Amino acid sequence: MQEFSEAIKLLAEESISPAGKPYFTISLSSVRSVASQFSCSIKEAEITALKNSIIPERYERSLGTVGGMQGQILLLNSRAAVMGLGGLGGLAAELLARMGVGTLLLIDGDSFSESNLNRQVLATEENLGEKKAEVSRNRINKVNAAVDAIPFAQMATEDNIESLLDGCHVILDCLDNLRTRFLLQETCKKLSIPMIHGAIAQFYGQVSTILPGDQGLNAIYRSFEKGKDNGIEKELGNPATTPALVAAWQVQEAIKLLINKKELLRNRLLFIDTLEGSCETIQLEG
Amino acid sequence: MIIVIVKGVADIGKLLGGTGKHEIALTSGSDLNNLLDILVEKYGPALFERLYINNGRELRKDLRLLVNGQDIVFLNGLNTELKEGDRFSIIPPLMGG
Repeated sequence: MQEFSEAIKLLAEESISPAGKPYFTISLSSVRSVASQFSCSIKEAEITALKNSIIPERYERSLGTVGGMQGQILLLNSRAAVMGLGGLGGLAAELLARMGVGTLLLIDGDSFSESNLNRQVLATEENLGEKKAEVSRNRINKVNAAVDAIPFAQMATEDNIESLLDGCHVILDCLDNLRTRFLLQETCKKLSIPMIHGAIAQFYGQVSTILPGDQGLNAIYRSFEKGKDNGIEKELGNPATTPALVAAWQVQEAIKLLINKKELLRNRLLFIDTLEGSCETIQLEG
Repeated sequence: MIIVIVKGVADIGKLLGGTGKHEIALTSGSDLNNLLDILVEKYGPALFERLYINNGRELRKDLRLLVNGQDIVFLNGLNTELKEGDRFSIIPPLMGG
């Protein structure tokens, strides 16, 4: 371990901050080289660098918003699940990877279809018919090789959801139906995992952070009518913009939670109205 | 008389004469029950059916009604009295991902 740290220190480069303070960084090619030399993962190399006060260059611009190097270490050691890889989840998974959340479980049984092209960032004309979970994994591997991206290309059900999510630090609810959203909330409560809820329809979006035991979806949806599983979005559609806004806000909540920031959207529903150009934070019944 | 500002979100906006804000005149001392009666009278049975169940005896539970951004469950429910310039919104549940 000592030898590993020394090798990383030798590859570090000194930089000067705008405030005139010296600091050390390490490039992606150096991280790759030292990881290969010591037969360890890119993630292990990055964590060792950070523990030695050396910033992997890819996170240089993030550190001011994640609580510095200790915060980045927390993120790299975190495990998050993204449930649903459509408009919300496809972007959310990529943003989590760019922030360096170390393990991402990518859950969706669907494949890309043409009607996804208007708003799902992972959908391309070339990958129609391919599994969303596999496409997301491949994209994340290209964006940040430090992240362990684990695809699960099946729908979450009562039979598999508990074993699937056990061990996660946070789960992003990017689903498109209430039945699975409520199943997720029940499982999160059982496993004591926080979840970040997001939903969209037309020009509107909403986000809320639900800690285990909170009223959460019960306060948001109030009466869950079985059989009435799809909402107004089926009729009114979704543009490219609202899922991007909501996904970004969900990821910001997840990052705050993982680095132990206290100011969460808990028992509050952030309601975004892009038609009027307004956001409201609505108090929920706790 | 007082004027309140009414906004419907998504499909409810369409039923309220189009998305955007609408000014509705009420007699002083009116509450939300009075406002909803006026809206249904003005915009017709399609709005009534979207808002109520049980032949109009009960509002749909999944609709969120706000006065000045605050859910009416934290106010006086449908008996919440309205003042000049109050903003009233009806938000249906969003479920898409």
